[in-house]
Amino acid sequence: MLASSSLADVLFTLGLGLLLARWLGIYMAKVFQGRPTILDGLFDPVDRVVYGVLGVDPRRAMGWKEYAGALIIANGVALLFVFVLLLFQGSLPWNAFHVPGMTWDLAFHTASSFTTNTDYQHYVPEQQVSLLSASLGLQMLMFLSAASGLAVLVAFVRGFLRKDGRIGNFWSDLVRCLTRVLFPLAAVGAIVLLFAGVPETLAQSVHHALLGGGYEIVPTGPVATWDSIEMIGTNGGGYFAANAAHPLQNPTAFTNLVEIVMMMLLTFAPPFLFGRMVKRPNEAYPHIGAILIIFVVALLLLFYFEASNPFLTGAGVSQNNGYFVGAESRFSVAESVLFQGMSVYGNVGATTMSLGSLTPGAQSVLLWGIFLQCAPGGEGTGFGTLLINALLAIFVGGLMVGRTPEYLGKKIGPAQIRWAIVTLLAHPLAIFIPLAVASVAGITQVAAGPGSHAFTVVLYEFTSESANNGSGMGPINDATPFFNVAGGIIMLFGRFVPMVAMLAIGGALARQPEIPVGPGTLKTSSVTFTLYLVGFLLIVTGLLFLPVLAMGPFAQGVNWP
Amino acid sequence: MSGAPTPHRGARPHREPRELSPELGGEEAPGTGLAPDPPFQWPSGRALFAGLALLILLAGVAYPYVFTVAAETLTPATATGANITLGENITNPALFWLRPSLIDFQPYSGAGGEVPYGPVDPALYNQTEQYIAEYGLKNVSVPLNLVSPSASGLDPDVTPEAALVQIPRVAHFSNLTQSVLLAWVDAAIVSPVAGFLGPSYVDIIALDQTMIAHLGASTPLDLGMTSR
Repeated sequence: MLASSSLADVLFTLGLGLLLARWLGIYMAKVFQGRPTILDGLFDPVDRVVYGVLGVDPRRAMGWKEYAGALIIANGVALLFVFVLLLFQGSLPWNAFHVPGMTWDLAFHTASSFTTNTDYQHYVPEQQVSLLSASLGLQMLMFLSAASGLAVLVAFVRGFLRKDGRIGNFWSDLVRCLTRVLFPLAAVGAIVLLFAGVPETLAQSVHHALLGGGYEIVPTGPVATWDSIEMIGTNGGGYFAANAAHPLQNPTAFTNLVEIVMMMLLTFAPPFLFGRMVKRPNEAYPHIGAILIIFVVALLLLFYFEASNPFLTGAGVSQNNGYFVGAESRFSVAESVLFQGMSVYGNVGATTMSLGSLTPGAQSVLLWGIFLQCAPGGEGTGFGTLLINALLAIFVGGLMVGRTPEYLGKKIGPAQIRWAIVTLLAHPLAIFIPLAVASVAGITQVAAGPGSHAFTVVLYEFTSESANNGSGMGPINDATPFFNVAGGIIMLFGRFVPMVAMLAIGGALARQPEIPVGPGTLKTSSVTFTLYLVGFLLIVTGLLFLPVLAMGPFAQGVNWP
Repeated sequence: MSGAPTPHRGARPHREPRELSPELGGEEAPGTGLAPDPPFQWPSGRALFAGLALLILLAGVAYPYVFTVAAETLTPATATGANITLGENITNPALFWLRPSLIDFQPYSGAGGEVPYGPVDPALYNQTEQYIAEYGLKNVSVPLNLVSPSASGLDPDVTPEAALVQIPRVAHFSNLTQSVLLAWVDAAIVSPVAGFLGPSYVDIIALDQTMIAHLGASTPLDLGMTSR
């Protein structure tokens, strides 16, 4: 197996990421409950100024509808701003290469993509965005979308704590998330990347000496800062089209490790944040356990499937170092795969490999990750999805064994289940409807060619957009009005429907009084519940998505020797 | 204790035991009623627009600007990225070659080197065979690394095996002995960071710089490479 040669780096990276994520989760629980932290002296005055400028009262706790309204309108205003910015970037400054304005459909797709934390790129960064659009527009959205995701999760979790129907103040959550979590982390990440050799400059190109004399012009920019928030905020949109495969964005195996750890921070922290916030630290373990079981098995399968592609055996090549098609030489294939697995399962969407040429098995494993969306899933929303699945699992399990469906002292009633089902069905609906339209109308064939690989590519595109992942599988010509408009709608739907559901469930829980633990209460901090949760996730996801997996990557795999 | 909502104490005094929510179907025992739905308020325009302006200023301007200044003072050598090795088109048979690039090593192509074939596409098989022929490596066991496109299209490195397999050709065209080339390849191997991060790989650009420095002085070989 592939990992045997480089097991140490894989284990070291995962271990470091988990340790830091645990520490971060505990810190964030303090931040979002207003408990004192060592950084208060620094950030309290900052926050006061911000609240003054915004004219909001951070102590005013909101009901879920008000919270959701503020969230959607704030995101909508930012989306509109970036949409206009991209339309008119051609006549704006910070545009050394006279990049023209985007067409309306591409601008809509791009603005929606970065607002929803997806960062699916139908444009070519080197040719189609100015430095102004990238910084003021896209990078700003990377912070906003990351903060919005975390805010929603925190508000959702407050439902377990409160009894007055209020789930917190949106502005306070957003501001505290930005000043106390995202900006400090992004700054530390950028410093580490700077010292690791990642460029950071406001120049937009640089002369690069060539072997035979002379030079070529190479695109560059504020890559380290972009890279940092791209990974930490689980955004995943590359500064370059090649994303984390580009030597300027990910120059060494060390930066590769740093970027993997940065992706793990806010994706693995939420279970710990949750355990601390509900004052039952042990409740973090069934969730972190379920995530790790699924994630580690997925990684092992990826290592196995990327060790070689038997289809090429007859061509007389040796694959001792792994299946290198579409992978970079400065990373071992295991390290590329670890990055890619983390990026897809954590709904980051950055790529360090060419996904279209991965083996059918690896493509299936990656698709499985974005079907699930919660192992660990994007920051905030990923764990929110897992909690919703846990509520469903407890509901179903409770009914089966005759226990009261309740979780952490709150009853799971019809309102919660209704919204949970909405979340569960939103994802397949957002994928299957456009997939059916594209396949029947012949759009799939035009954009990606014939056969099961093309079907896989289009399935991956819509799944990635609905899951707000943002990685893309090629080859596909998706910079067309159909894919731009459909994609934009899918991303907005896949982002805000589950978010509203999370807030609604939080709001419904928050109105309930706490039920004391009784003999009928299902014990959730146990190995049994962990395994049951894993089984529940796999069965539900399998029921929803196995048919399309069979039509896509499995059908490709039939030809696999 | 600024900012965040304070933990609630005494938030329940005004609950009404009779107000059972339809959500619970009225099955609840009296005395466990739900809190009333809190009042709704639209976000203020000031919060929306001042918030957006502030975020643009901090995330879009201050953040990259501060770190650009930091990079110029702390890490001036790597601040622009000019030092980072990038692959380029090397066709001279007396030099070591890179992996094929699907974007022809053009940094602005923006195609990102996306491999245009699926994993079981006959075109992938045929393309691999064609690369093997182009690299003159028929009837040898060829490391896949050398005859496969990279993800970026700008990969400046190959695996050690992929450099070693080129030695017979390079020796033939450069009139250097295989043992000299072997020593140079060895010298160009980049070891794992801290002993365990990353594979051992060969920096082909550095290796070819050594080659050019040597050949350019002593042989009349035409080193005319396609330079862009």
